Amino acid sequence: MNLNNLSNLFVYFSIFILALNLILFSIALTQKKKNRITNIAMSLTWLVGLFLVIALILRGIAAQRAPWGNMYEFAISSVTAVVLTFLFVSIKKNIQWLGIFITVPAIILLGLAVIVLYTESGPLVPALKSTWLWIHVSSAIISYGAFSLNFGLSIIYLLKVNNKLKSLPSLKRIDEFSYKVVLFAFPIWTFSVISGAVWAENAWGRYWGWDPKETWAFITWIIYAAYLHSRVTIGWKGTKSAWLGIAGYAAIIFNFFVINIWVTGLHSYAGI
Amino acid sequence: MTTKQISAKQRTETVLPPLNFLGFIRWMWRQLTSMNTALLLLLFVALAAIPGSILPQKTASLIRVNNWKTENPNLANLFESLSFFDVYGSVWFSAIYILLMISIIGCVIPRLKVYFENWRQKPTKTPSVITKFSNYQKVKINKFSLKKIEEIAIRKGWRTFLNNNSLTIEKGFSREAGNLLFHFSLIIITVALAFGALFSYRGTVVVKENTGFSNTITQYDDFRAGRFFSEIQLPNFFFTLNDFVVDFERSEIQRGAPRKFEANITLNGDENINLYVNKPINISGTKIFLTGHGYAPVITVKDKNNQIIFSDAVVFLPQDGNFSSTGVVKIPDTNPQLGIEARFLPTAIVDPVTGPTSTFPALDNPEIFMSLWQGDLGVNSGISQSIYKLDTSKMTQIGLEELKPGQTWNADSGFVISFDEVKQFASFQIAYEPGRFLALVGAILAMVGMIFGLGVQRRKIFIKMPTKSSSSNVIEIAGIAKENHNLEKDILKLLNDLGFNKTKKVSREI
Repeated sequence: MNLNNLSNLFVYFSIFILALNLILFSIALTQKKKNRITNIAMSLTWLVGLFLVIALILRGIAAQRAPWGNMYEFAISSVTAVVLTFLFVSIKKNIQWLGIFITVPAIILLGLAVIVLYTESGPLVPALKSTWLWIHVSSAIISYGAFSLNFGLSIIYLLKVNNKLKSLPSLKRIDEFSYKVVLFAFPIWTFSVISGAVWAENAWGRYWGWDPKETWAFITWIIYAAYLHSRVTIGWKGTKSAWLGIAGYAAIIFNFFVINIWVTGLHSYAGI
Repeated sequence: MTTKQISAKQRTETVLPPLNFLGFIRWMWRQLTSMNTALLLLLFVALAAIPGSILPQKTASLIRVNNWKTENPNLANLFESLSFFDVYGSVWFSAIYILLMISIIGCVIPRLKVYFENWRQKPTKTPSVITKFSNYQKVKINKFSLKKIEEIAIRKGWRTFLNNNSLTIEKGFSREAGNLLFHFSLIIITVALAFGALFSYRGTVVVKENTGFSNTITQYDDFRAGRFFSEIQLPNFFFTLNDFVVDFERSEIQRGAPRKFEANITLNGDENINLYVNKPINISGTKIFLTGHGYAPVITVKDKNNQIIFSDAVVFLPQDGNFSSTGVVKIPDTNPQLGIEARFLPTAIVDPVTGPTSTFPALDNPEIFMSLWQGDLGVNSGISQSIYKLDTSKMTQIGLEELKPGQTWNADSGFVISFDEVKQFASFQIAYEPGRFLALVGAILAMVGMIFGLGVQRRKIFIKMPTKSSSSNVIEIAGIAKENHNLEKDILKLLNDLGFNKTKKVSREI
């Protein structure tokens, strides 16, 4: 068995555990506050985090480079970032109730990665051989992870507004938490866009060229800027903020799937 | 209850503009620089950027725009008149972002004024009663005079205002500074983009092995420049492409993917340079990038008198990942005119179903499939023609042949066509982007401003001594801050510096 297959195996394990967690977290949601089921599910989530990191490292070793060369690797990395963000925040804060909203998108994204996006690992095409791959892509992944968390929180907020899910924290807490997540992610996303521009200047001779991918990164940036701005200046909170969070995430997803696969641009060589 | 609601509603309704002209201008200005408008414009910029990411853009590829137009003839004219094929250079897109910039400037200037006024002023006087403020508590500390407490606070970076028996300390001025810096940097970036759009130039050129390029507009295959560009801007240089090296993946995984591009050039006749993807060379601000490559088979055509009527390396444009390439030869000096339409396959196999195809991008089994045409090339009609396409509408085919390097074909009418060897070509992008440094400075400042503007909170802490004493070991303390700031932590930190520990607490009122 080569490293590549071993890496795949860890991804499959992760999907399997996440599926189990889906059931556990669902049950936990119907129960009173802290309970054993939640604890088991959280421990399993740590295992998923570990497996995904191992999968990525193995893939990186197999290819002898950062595991961010194609969409499959990028999808796995993003899920890892989401899961790890969730886990690290859970050490300090009681956010186990978020579990199910992390698990569902994680399963969907990993499933898509394995079924649709899968590519064997291999070396990079020359255009991607650059230190900027590390800088640009790692910051994008971290902010994608945090924005996913914000998306989950926005959905929860809207669900809770419409029918009072008892076991979840108060609306105010969810709202503030999701704001803090954007507060964290936005500067990193900005950095990712800027480092992308620097790289673009190096590779293509212009720092901004309205390539479809760039355009959607810009649109995403604007939506989250509006999220923060509206909150500070005209006091948008709660439902309105949640909808902006969902719009921002929709732009991210559109950029990742639609633009990468269907629209021709300079980022297209990344390959499915 | 009802009347109250109505009056609240009325207050938020738009105030109508006054009737005189100056009043109207002032009203417009106030509307434009209001937060709601700024936010709306921001979202409009995002919305306006969308069509340009979905429809092909002239700035990226004129060919794709024309293809789209022929495929969608109904929408072509409408979209053209809306400048949907040049969104980011269109009047309406510029209008939105210029309005946004004006709105930002309108927001920033008054805030800048307020900021400097606040900066010069001391923090406000402590209110006479502070029990209503958050985290109010009465605590026992070491015996200090207010003067001493002030000194400690200053050392910890607080701005202070000392009154008779009370002290106000304040922190977080960098928040507004960050916000202002951020908005200011957005203006810098926009100026940089505009500067770049006016003075920049970029061009592409295809250079075959053993041929050269010198930096004049006529030598470019495609050249675009900003409005204020003048030809004097072009720096003087020339280079020859000596050798192009490319490696492809040979193992099963990602077979055929490129692994290495390397162009060896001689710059200005004496300097030998290897040019790689992602590693441009810089000649006084103008950068040369390696952007692509392909094959250029050398074809020689002789007529029935054994006279060479054509002999050159011909650039074939790659059509797929395995470098199936197409190219044409036009020989207008014969009568009737002669043309060759050809397909070049670096690793040719003849598939029983799909016909000849290339299975690998390297030159493992190069072959060329030619068809020879005779008639009117249409080059004299005055309409400019692509050098990569043969217009065969007024021509007749007089032969078909497949050749390997070194082979010769004795075609109809006494023409002898030989495929001598395969050379490579590299395509280069040559670009000058004068706004880039300014844009980078703007971007970095924006990051710094954003971190302060989002990360820092403004807060005040009030400290009071018991009346008529300026030195005591019991003080009242309270503070004020935005709800998402952890004021308790600030207060506790300060109290610790004043020798407070929790067990000594006197009383705590909520």
